[in-house]
Amino acid sequence: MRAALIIAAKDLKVELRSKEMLSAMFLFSLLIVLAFRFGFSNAVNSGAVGLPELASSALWICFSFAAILGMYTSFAKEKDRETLDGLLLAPVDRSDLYLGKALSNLIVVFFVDLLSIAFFALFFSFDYGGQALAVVALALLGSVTLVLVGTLVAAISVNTRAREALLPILLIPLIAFSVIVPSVTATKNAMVGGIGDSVQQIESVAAFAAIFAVLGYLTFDFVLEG
Amino acid sequence: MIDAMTVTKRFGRRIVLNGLDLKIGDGEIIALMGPNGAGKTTLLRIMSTLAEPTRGDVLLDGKSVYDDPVISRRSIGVVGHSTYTYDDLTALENLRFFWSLYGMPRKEFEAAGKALLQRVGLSHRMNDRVAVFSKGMRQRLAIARAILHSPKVLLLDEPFSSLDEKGNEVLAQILAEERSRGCSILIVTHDVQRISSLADRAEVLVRGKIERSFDRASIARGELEAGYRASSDGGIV
Amino acid sequence: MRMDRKKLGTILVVVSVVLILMTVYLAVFFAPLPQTGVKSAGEILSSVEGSKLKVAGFVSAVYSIHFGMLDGPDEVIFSLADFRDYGRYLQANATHSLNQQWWTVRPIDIKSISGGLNPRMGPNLGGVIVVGANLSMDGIVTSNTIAPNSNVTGFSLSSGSGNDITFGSVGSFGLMTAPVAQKIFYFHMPSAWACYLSFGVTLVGSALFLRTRDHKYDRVAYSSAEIGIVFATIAITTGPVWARQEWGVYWRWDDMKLVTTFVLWLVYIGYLSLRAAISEPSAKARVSAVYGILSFITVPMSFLSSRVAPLLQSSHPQVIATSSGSLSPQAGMTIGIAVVAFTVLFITMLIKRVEIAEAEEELEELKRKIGDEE
Ligand SMILES: Nc1ncnc2c1ncn2[C@@H]1O[C@H](COP(=O)(O)OP(=O)(O)OP(=O)(O)O)[C@@H](O)[C@H]1O
Ligand SMILES: [Mg+2]
Repeated sequence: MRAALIIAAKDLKVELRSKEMLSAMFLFSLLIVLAFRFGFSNAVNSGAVGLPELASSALWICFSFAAILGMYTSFAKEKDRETLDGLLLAPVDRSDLYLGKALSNLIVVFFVDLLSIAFFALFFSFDYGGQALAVVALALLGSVTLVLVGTLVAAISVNTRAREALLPILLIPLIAFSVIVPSVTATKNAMVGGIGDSVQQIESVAAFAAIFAVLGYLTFDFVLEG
Repeated sequence: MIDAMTVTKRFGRRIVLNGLDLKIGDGEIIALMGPNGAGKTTLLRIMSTLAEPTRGDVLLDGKSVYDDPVISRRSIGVVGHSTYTYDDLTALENLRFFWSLYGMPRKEFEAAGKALLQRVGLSHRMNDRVAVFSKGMRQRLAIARAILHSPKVLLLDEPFSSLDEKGNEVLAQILAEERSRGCSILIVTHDVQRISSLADRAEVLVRGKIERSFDRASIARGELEAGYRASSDGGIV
Repeated sequence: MRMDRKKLGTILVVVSVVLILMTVYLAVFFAPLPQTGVKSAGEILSSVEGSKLKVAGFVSAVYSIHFGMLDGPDEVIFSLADFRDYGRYLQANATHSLNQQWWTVRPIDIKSISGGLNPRMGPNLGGVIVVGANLSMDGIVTSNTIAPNSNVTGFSLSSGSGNDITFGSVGSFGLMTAPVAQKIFYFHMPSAWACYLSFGVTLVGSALFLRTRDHKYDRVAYSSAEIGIVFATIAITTGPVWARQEWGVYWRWDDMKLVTTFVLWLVYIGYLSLRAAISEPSAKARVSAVYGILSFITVPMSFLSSRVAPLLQSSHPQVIATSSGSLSPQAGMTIGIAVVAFTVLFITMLIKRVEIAEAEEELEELKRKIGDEE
């Protein structure tokens, strides 16, 4: 656990210096929200699509893809700059490495989530009303699950050729019903009424977080072996 | 003391190491030579727990390093093909990160980190980001990184490459100091000249096996040079 | 030894072919088409609570009645399954919904009603009344009005309450015979089962490989995944054939069962892509074993999607849960034999596929030896 924190702190420090992941993810989430703004401008202006419906879907598409980009970078960087072996040589459990990476990924991903939530409000003149906090909380919960499975799958894909393409192929089907569908529903519910209608969805996302955490903790060892 | 016992490594159907034995006693420096693709780096990775052997075992002071690799890694230092350092951190920050990762007492780092950089001759650049370092400077930092936890075993993969004259002297000095501490040292190299003055023994690895071994006396007689050339003529295996 | 194995393989192939042919025969000529909808008064009564009839138990949530038919025939007969689908379909188009309308539900014997309307006129009927979110409806069905196990075959439905029928007799719904496409069920359900089984074997093979590092488990794992994808493909393509007849559409993106099964299929396609993207055999086996374990979470997701608290609704039939009461003995026997047939087929294919995998590796070995000699 201590090692996990050390690794996460290192990742964040490197990230704050280079801003490689952050800047890419920032632009990415900005562009996705803008793409929705332009793509759906007729539908929104004519009222054919309600803003809460659009917001919940757009936000989660944005969260998911930005997270995939970030998690991919976090391992690809260690691999490409040949620093991964240095971590593997350290007297640290692989599962701590998993937790450390997941933690640093979570912090970066959650930060970008917050930006996307703000972008959406900005470009759609959307008022979260009193529900901004609920939306943020749901983003955090969903991101935890996303990062727990994503970190494992990113480590899997980093072993392969064509890994940029492979990560979404491997990850999106896994998060579709564990994260995206329930989170979109819960987020929409939160925006139109209250987070209270979504107990089932929240429980489901949390349960998957637990399942992925256990699987990642147990199997990460095998993924990074040379 | 580290002891590779009948280590076999296969990558799919290709047998890279074939029942290889290699023993390095305390305070010994062993040179491992051999043509490109002979399996030297592969052996080093196996001895440093980065890869598991297909068959055979590696014993560290009589216990398999794979029993509890996490504990074993505390006693192993590695200078690899790459430096394992982060470009966006300074030299000192890099060392601090690995210092804490190796579970060394945080308070002692202030003094120890500077002393390490002093030893490899980087103390005047300790607050520069590694991104701006030259190749040789990075290699020096990699050496500091490898010895910061005073390992019992030091494994170096072509450490002389990219080091200047001064750097080589620094490395030789460090190796001598580590040896006198009782560290078992394995150096993979193609540099016969350089290793002749350092090594207690030189082993030549060809086709996954130790083909020839030269002791100190025969190295001194210059037999290593001729013998190594003959093995290398076998070409890439 | 080698000979024995070959013999066993041949026997298995013959047995699977015989069983599959038998399934085809039974499905086509033996098993009757089941009747969808309400079966007996006993069953109706099981969902009567007090004076309220939970229509949701028979017709999912909403259904619709053709408004414009009020001047037409007195009775309109719908299949319950039709209701399900048209209800959903029409809900989106319902502009003149009479949400708060109370409906009277009356048990009837539709056999005595003559001149029923073609139930499959489809959703293009105009003017629709939708009973909105009201899942339970006021009804006059009580335990007093129907004797248990009397021959109730349907309901008549009229607006208003009691005898006060505002718009006239609107319709009734009840027993309908399933379309012939229903027969595909005997292949659809067993192939879904076989695909779950295959992916289960992949899970076990992957876990055993990580434990033992014995490549024979890896061969079993990926062979089984490939076969599982074949079965999943069968399940996914036979489903729409049935759905077109029963629901009026090939595919429903709002049905949890369908989409989770599709995702299951995608995940295992991903598993094979992952394998194709790693060249070093031991890394390939190791890394894909982890993904093979991770992928399995989509199996319970798909299997349980129409049973456990669904995130989306599902109108997919739940076979196992209701098989005790709803399948006729002939249908039960057919499905039983079909499941056995597909299981044997899976085992046969797995053994053959593993043999091929072994042969492939042997070939690699021989190639390497030839290369060495040169
Ligand atoms: N991950 C791997 N997958 C497949 N083959 C590998 C892998 N790593 C090494 N090999 C093979 O093992 C053999 C030995 O490689 P290794 O890197 O150990 O050689 P080396 O002795 O260090 O050579 P050099 O002097 O060039 O550094 C080579 O034939 C190489 O192709
Ligand atoms: Mg090498």
